[in-house]
Formats: sequence, C-alpha cells, structure tokens
Amino acid sequence: MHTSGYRAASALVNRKLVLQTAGGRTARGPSAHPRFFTGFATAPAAAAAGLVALADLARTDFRRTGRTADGRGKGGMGSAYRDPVVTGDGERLRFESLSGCCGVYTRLDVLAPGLDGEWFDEGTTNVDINPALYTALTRVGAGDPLRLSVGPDDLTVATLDGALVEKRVPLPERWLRGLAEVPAVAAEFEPRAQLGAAEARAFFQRLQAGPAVRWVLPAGRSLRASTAAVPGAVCLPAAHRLAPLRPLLRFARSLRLYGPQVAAGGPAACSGWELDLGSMRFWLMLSPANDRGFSGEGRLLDDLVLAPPGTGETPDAGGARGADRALIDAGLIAGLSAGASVLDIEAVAARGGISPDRVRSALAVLAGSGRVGYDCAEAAYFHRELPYAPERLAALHPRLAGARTLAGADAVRRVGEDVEVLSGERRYLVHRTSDGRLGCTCRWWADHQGGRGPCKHALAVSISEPSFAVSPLPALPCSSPAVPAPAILEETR
Amino acid sequence: MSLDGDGLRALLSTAGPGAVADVLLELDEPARRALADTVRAYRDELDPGPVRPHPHVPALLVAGAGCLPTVAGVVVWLRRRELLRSADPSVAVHVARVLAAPGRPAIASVARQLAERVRPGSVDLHWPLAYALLGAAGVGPVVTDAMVRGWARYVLSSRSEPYVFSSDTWLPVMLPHLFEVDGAVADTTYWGGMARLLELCRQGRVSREALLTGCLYRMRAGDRRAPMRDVLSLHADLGPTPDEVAAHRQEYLGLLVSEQTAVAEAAQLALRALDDAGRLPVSVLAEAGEVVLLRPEKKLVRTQLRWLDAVARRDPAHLPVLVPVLAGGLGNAAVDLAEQALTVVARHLSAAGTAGRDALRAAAAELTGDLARQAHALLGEALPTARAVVAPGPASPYVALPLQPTASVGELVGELRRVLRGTVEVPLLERVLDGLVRGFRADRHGLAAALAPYISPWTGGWYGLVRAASGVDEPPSRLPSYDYVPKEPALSAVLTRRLVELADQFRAGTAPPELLATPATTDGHVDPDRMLRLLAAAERDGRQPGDADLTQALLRLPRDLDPAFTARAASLTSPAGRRLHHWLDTTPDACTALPEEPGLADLLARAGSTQSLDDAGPRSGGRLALLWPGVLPSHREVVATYLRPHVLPSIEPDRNGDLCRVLPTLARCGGPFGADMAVCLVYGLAASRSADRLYAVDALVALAVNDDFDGDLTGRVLGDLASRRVIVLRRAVDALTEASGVDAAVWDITAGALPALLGMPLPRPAGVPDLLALAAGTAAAGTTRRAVPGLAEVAGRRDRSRLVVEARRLSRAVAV
Repeated sequence: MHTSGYRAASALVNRKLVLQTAGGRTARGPSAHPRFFTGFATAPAAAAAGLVALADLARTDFRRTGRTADGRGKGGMGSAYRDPVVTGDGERLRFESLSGCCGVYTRLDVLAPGLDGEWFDEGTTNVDINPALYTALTRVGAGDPLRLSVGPDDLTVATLDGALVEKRVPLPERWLRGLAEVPAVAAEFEPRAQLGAAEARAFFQRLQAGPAVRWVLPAGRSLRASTAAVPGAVCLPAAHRLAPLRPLLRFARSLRLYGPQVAAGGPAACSGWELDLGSMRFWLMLSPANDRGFSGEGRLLDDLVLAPPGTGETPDAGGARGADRALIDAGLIAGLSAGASVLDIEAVAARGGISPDRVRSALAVLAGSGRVGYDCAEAAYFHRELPYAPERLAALHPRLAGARTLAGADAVRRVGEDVEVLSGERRYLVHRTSDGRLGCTCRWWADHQGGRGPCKHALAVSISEPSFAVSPLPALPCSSPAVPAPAILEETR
Repeated sequence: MSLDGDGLRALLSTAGPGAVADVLLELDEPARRALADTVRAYRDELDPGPVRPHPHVPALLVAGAGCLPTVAGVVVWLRRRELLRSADPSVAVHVARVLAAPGRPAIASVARQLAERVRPGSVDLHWPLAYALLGAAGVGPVVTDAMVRGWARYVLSSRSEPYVFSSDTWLPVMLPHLFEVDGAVADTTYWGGMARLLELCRQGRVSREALLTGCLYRMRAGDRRAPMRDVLSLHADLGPTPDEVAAHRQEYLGLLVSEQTAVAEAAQLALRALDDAGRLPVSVLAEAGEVVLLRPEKKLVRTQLRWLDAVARRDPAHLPVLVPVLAGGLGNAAVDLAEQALTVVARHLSAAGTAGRDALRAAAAELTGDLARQAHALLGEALPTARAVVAPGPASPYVALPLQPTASVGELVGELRRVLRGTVEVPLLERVLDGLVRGFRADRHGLAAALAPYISPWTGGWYGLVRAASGVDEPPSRLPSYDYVPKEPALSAVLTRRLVELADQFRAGTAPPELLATPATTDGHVDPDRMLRLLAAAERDGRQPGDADLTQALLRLPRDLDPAFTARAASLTSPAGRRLHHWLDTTPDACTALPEEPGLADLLARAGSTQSLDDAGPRSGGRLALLWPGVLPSHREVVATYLRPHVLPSIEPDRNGDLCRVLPTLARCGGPFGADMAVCLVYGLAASRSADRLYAVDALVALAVNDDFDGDLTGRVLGDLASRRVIVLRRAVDALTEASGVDAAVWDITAGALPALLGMPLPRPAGVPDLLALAAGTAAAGTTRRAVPGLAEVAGRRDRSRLVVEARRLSRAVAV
C-alpha cells in the first residue's frame, strides 16, 4: 500500500488546471510537494485529452472485460485512479502511467512548444487525478486557454497550508517492477512504420478486438496485418489494448510504430505506438500478450545478475567493481541531470573512459531500480527517479532470488558442453543455443524460449559459471539479419 | 443469570438467533467473554462444508458477535464465508442488539471496518450485514467501490423489504459515485434502479445536472452493452435542454469518437439539437464533422453529411470552413460513403471559393481509382498521370533459413522437451531427430543420462523413441509391428513410420550416423549433395538406409536439381541408390501428382491414403497436418489435395478451423499452383473466424509473389462456391480487403469471381457490391485490364441500387 499526501485535490476551475503533487525527488533533494511549472498549455484540448487517456488507462485491466476495471481487486474508492508519475526536466513534462493489468504503459510527453511559462524545479513526483478533475478535463475545448500548474501554486500555499488529501493506493510489486522494466524493453525498439493522420484513423477503424496476436507491417502508405512475425513487422497482441489512443486521433498528425528486431516466425513481442500531437507526444507500449505484464519480461535479469547479492544497486556491469562502479553511476547521473534533459551514451562513455556497451548495461540496471526512463522518439534515456520507497524498488526479482539460492547451494557443475543445475530432485541442463543465448531443459524455457528473460537455472549458471555465460549483454532473440528501418523514417528521425 | 459452555452449546443447537441474543444480553461482559472459546470451538466442530443452510449458523453468528473480545475478532467472525452463506439478512438485527450491549467492542468500529473490507466480488455475501450494522450504529455511509455497488444493487433498486429506499440518507452521498464506480451502473440497471433515478429526478430529489453529468461520465468511460443501453435511455429520457447541452458541449464532442456506435449517435443527436437551437458555433460543427465523416458507420456518416449540407445551405458564409471538412470525408475507407461526401462537396464547391477548391485538391491527391477521377473531374483538372506509386509490401520471394543442428546434449533435451509438450513444427522435430541420432553415436550413456527424466510409460512415437534411445528394454507386446496400419492420413504416417523405424534401429544398434531426411533448411528441403554423400558412404560400408528415412529424403529433394547431381546419382548401385535415380528419372518437372515410387506407394497404401481424401472432418491428431508441407516441400499442389478436406471445416460456423494455420506454410512450398491450392485458399479466405481468414491472407500474399499464381482460377473457384452458397461471400471480401500490397492478385481474383456472381439467378449472396467496389479499387494495379462478362449489363440497369452504383464505378475503372 502506498500513501500519497497531497496538499489539496487537483482541480480545474476557471480554465486553471492545478495538478497537485506528492513526494519524490527534485534537483534540490526530496520534497513533499514539488513545484515544477506554472504557465499555459498551448494546446489545451489535446493536453486535456492526453491526461484523460492516461487516467483511463491507469484504471483499466485489459485481462478482464477489456474495458475499465470493475475494481475486483483490493482497495476502496479511488483505487481505480492510480496516480500518474510526472517528470519535469526544465523543458518538458512527462506523465507516465501503467494499466491495472501491468501490460500497457503510456506516457504523455508535453514538449517545450506545448508549454509557455515558468519553471521552478526539476524532478519526479506523483500527481493527483480524481473523478471530478477527470470530468472537468473532458470539458476542455480547443479554444479555451488553459493555465497549468504542476505543483501547488502560490494561492494554494497561502490558503490551504497543511491541509492534506491522503490517497492510499495499492502498489503491487508487479506494478512497480513493470514500470521499472519498461525502459529496458523500449531501449531495444527501433522505428518500424509511420502512418499519416488519415491512415492512422482508418487503421484504428479496422482494428479487431480479441486476444489474438497479430503482426503489422508497412504496405504502401498503410499497414498490412499478418499472422506471423516477419523481419520488420511490429507485433500487435490483443489489439483492443490500443483503445486509449482512439480519442486522441483527432489531434494526431502521425502515428509511428516501434518494435524490437524480430525473426521470421518468432514469438510475440512488445511494441510501441506513438502519436505525434504536435507539441506533445503520446506513447503507448503493449506487452506481448493480454495476460502478460511487463514485470515478467525479465529483460533486466541478465544485467542484474552481475550485481553483488543484496545490494540491488547498480552492478559491476561488465566486471567493473567498487569505485569503478560508483564512477559509472556518478557519470550517468551527472550526464543525465547536468543541464542535459536526455542522456548521450557516447558522451558519457567518453567522459568516463568506459565502453558504450558498459554504459548501456549500467543504464539498464538503473532502469531496473526505477531511476531512468527511455524515450524512443529521441532514442535516449532520461533521468526519472520513481517517487516510491527505494527499498521496494530494490527488492530482489523472484527469479534472481531463486538463482542466488541455487548458486549458493553449490548446485551448478559443468557436464561436457553443458552445465548441470540440480534443483531439488530435478536435474536441468543449461546450454548455449544456436543463437548464442543460454537455454535450459526446464519447462519455463520449453514454453517461452527465452521470450520472457532467462530462467532461474540459466541465471544460476551466470552467477556460478561466469565463464560459461560469456555475453554480459542480453542477445536479441533473433537469428535473421537486421532489417533497416524504412527510409521514410530516417529523415524524420 | 449465568451460562456455562455446555449451556451455550445446548442453546446454540436448539434456539434461534433472537433467543441467543436475549440470553447473552442478560449476562455481564466478563461472562460473555468467558464463552468466546466455546463459540470458536463450536464453529470448528460444525460440518465444514454444508451446502444447505446449517440450522445452527444464525445463532452462532450472533453468539460470536456477543462473546468475542475484540473489534478485530468480531470483524473476522462476521466476515466468515461459511457462516454468512447460511444466514439471512434478518440476523443483522440480533447482531446489532448484542453489539450494542455495554462493554462489547464498539459497534461503530465493527460496522465501519466491515464496510471498508467489503470487496466488489463479495458484495452479496458481505454487504448486507455491513449496511445493516452501519444503520444500527448510526454511522454515516462508507464510500468504497463495493459499498456503492451494494447500495445500487440492494437499496436503490429495491422494491420491497428489507431494504426500504424511501427515507434513504445514503442517496446524496452515493449518487455522485454511482456512475463513477465501474460496475455500479450494471448493478443499478439489472435491478431496475434507473427508472427510480428518473422518478426521483422528476420529484426534484435528484438534480438533473447530477444525472446528466453521471450519464456523460459513463458514456465517456464506456461499459458493457446492456448497462450502456440503460445509461443511454436514461440520457434520452432526461432530454437535455439546449442550455444543458451547451454547458457540456465539449464532452459531447469527445463522445463522437466513442467505440460504441450508440454513444456516438446519442452525442450527434444532442449536438444537432443544439445546432437547431442556433447555439452551436460553426467551429465546433467542423470539429464534429472531421471526426464523424471518417467513421465506418453508414448511419452516422450520412446523418453528418445531411447536417453539414443543411448548414451550408442555411448559411453560405460558413462554406470556407465547411467544405474542407466535407472534403476530409473523401478519406472514408468505404468508397460509397466517400462518394456521398463528394456529392455534397460538389453541391457547394462553386460558392466555397479558393479555400474550398484547395481543400478538395489536397484531399483528391490522396485518392486512387474512380474516386480520384471524379474528384479531379469536379475540379475540372486532369488526373495527374505520374503518380508516385508506393512500393507494395513484401515483393521478394520467401527464402528459407538454414536449419541449425543442436550443439549439445542440453540443447537437444531442451528441444525434445518442447516436442513432448506438444509443439508441432518441422524444424523443431527434425533438429531433435538429428540430435538424437548424432548424440546416440557420440555418447550413448551420456545421452541416456540426460534423457532419463523424460522416460515415461506412455505410448506414442516420441515416447517410444526416447525409451529406445535411452536403451530402456521394451516388453515385446509394446513394440510396434511393421504390419501395423496407422489410422492416420498418409502424410502424417510418413513421420510415424520414421519414428518407429529409428526406434528399431536404436534397439538393434543399426542407427545410421546421420539421417538422410534431415533437412538443410527450415522449410524442409534436403541438401542433395549431402544426401548423395551419405548414400555413397552407406554403400561403401555395406549399410542399408532406413526405408522410411529414404522415402522422406526423396520427397524432400528440391525441384531444380543440378544435372551433375543426377549424373552422380546414376553411379550408385545399392538398392537405395537405385531408388534415388529411379525417382529422379520419373519425376516430371511440373508434377501436381506424386510420381510412381515403389517405397512411397507402399507407404501410402499402408496408411490408407484414399480414405483421408474422402473424409471431410479433421481426425484425431489433426494438428499433425501442420507438418505436411514439410513432408513434401516442393509439391504444394499434392499437399493441398491432402489438406483440402481438413481446411474445409473452417468455413462452417463454430468449427475450430485450426488447420487454416497451415496455409501460409503451404503457400511457401515449391511447385506449380493448382486447383486444390486455389480451393484451400478460398476456404481459408471465407473461414468463419476472422483469425483464420488472416492466415489465408498471409498465404495469398506469399503466393502472389510467384509468377505462376493463377488469380483467375482462384477467382473462378470463389465465384462458384459463393454463388452456390457453399461459402459466405462477405467474409471472403473482408479478407481480400485486408490483403493490401498485392492489388494485382486481388484484382485477378475479383475479376475471376464476378462473372459467376453477376450472371447467377437472383437472389445473389450478400457482398457482391462490396466485391465490385474492391475490384474497382484494385483494377488500376491489374496487369491485364480485361472486361468482366456480365458487368455492362448490370451497370446499364436503370435503378440506383448499390449493386448498380458499384457496377458503374467498376466499368468506369476498367474503361480507363
């Protein structure tokens, strides 16, 4: 259970939107009610629609009706509105949210041209969204000027000092871990297709509901659906989960699709959908199936396994230890927060004198502890420290915990070309597959083929037999040559 | 008065809840608390799972509330499922009575905690008691999702005891949440509470504004169909006034994009009424038009067009705003709707000035086909000839990947595990067979140790093979006999025979060093040179390759063989070598039937091949048909002949068309295109489930790349089956519409299908106009712009039915 204390409820009165904040860190350190920005939103209708879509998504559980969650879970009133996380970097505001089923992630990026006003601080915090505000946001029209404050404005400070609105929302571990996993998944994405506004609308009219996994690939100016993966295709699992984008289509200039590199006939993958709203971007990410949350994707495990047990902190990526590790960390965070709003991996690598691969690996671990996010449109990480208790974020992944137990119990030994792992009465053979990853003879591997990260036996081998697990970076689940992004995307990138 | 444990036991087994409450109220608090252990023990002794109401339970529930010492203990007691499900709501009175006794845990705390812990999934179980105790304690309403839903279900909708609505103090607290809590509307409407809300509104006890806000919230948030229908009818019954609609204008505008058609219709109706009252700014009308004109629903679009047309006539000053909106409607995916938008544009174009013409020109640039021609004709401009054609999707033929052998025993066992868990894929099965043979030869004992966990007593080819490779002795009765006639289709029998043969070879110690049939690529083709090398080695060592292995290897030879290979094959002298060059001699280049081959004929005869062709339903193990294209990777038409009866069921309603999954793989096989492939493709395109149709679309895209794809033949099959109503035409048209990027193939199919459908006696199946529209949209891509027999006759008819309109459009497109 997570409790956020707001100074007042967020409200939209007289075309003045005050988003109240609670907790988190700013550039000046921890703050109870950070204040980031006060000024005007230059595209009020789109901004309001974006926030409404974000709120819709936060209370939707796509595993059930496909519509809004009917609150079968825990919690009382208001549990449906799990508050978005907002990051201000002195230039843009990013609102992030994860669906109730943890399988759909959205982010509304209000870019510099979308904001006209004064910045007070930088950092990350929660913002309050409540039913009254939701209703008010649906009334914002295109012509109405909208004054926006993130954080208590002067008036609230003066009149409502000390008055607190407490919100208690359940914050399940899978939700937190899902939010941390998202940047690692997104970092593997490449732009795959782009649709104009009209084609995007037509595409959404044709979408069919249901849990089926489809693939879409560029065909002329539009997209063609396919049943199997082909290189260059973007996975569309359980298409009804794109519904939150529908109300935003009327503001959209283009729809861009992102996805990881896939092999022909490969398993379902994550995908990213980005609506360009002019001065804003709305980003939506789908997990590979209706009933799969991002928390189980296991993208970070290969990097986390290198961390010393118990710290949950940044590991010695690629073998760096102690002071070296701290250097990488410090370099990254400095690179992120010192003026630059996004991180340039090459620059950090050059400054720290380490390889870009190690920087990437360290970044994945920072993402795992909720300290960075990833922006596909700029192909860059950004600094964002989740405003939740750090010890909860650092808690060990269950699979990693199991692997450490196995490694500690001396259950791993070399047998010929494979490594044997004894787990209880069972015996598993961890091996190197033809595409260079670590495979296993366990049921998890038989069912998922590494599509959801390594199994605990493979992780135990990475810990006990590091020489067998030579590749510190997760290999792409792909055996076919890379498909270059369509030329149309190159010029806009 | 005093009561000991035995006395309480006696009381609980005979008296009702009221009597128990009376007795407990006469005791003092220490005496009651002293009985707590007895009460708990009594519950533990009760039959743990009575399905019928247990007669002692209501009294026991009261006794717990009257004796347990703490608030937490009482709350846990009063939430016990096994107690509550045997008690009816009337017991609450007595629970409240005992809790009100001096010294008892505070009833207000108990009530509040009970209420906070009700979950939406257990409203029926926990809500009644929580509600009753809140009332008895005089505590105000507790607002949680579940409490709102319980109130909606029991109180708001109640018509009788025990929940009387009339003097309800909860109404003002609950009403704002009624529409916000997901599921609460369903609870209300199911029990008829919406009518009561309307009644309360007429009496003035509920404000119109509250109800209207609630309706709009729910319309925005969406709901299941039935509750949404009731929300919409409440909204209609409220009859929002122009003032009210004006206040909520922006929300109505947002509802126009709703996924639910009825919601968008209600919003359109409200905004139109506002316009009729003269209070809708034209900018808002334009925004509404932009959204609605691209929707797929005909009714919504036509209404919007009429509305825009009416405003344009009423106030020509708005034309510079409205004509661009109308021109945006040309982008509608349905050609007939786009054409209607063009008609309205044409009506106002001259008065709209340059802004209107510019908008139309911009919209026309995005169009193709007949609509583009009409739009340019309206502008009085020539159709731009050199249009940049965007390259269609996959233009390159399919290239199979090389098959990677397993690199270690661990990898082999990992892959075997997938096979045993039911994965049916040619590359997977072949990697496992190859790995077993090589592993057995390299380190028999190491392999046996690794396979040990997967030895099971089950029958079935794979389990038997694992036992044989591990060196497990089989009792003779378990050994499959060569005389065994598998009751399975011939092409599945090829694999079955290979598994049995290999198991025998493992047991006899005659397993070959490598299998002949192991493919070089994932689509199943063998490498001819490797095959030759293995045959020569076997000949040299005096070994005979397995019959089934050799048969499968021959079936997997690629079509385009090097003449040098044929020459070298002729030098082999062993029986296996002679079979190879006999096969090479008798295989015609473009065969669509299998060649004469003794081993194969034997195999097919054993497997009862003819039987499978006559039987329409998928048989047991039908999933194995997914492997058939890998059995004959260069003979697509032969595989299609065998698959045809298995794909057929997918066109029937509610049938599991699992085998449509095989169509893309089948399409990528080599060999000439033939009639059976066309039939399989059409069955798939007309499958009853949309997911199955998509497989057929993939197959079509894969086939269309080949030069010998016969779209006309496929079209004739489609036309014939549709006109005889074997398949549902509309489904096939939907599927063909999905197949973007292969317009030329789609044009050939539509043009091939139309003559039969246009020439048939009436009534025609639904979907012919859509097929005409599809043909018109793709005609430009057709390499052969041929006349469609029967088209001119339909296009020349004098009515204005959709069939004729679309026929005219197509004849214009063909004539260009």
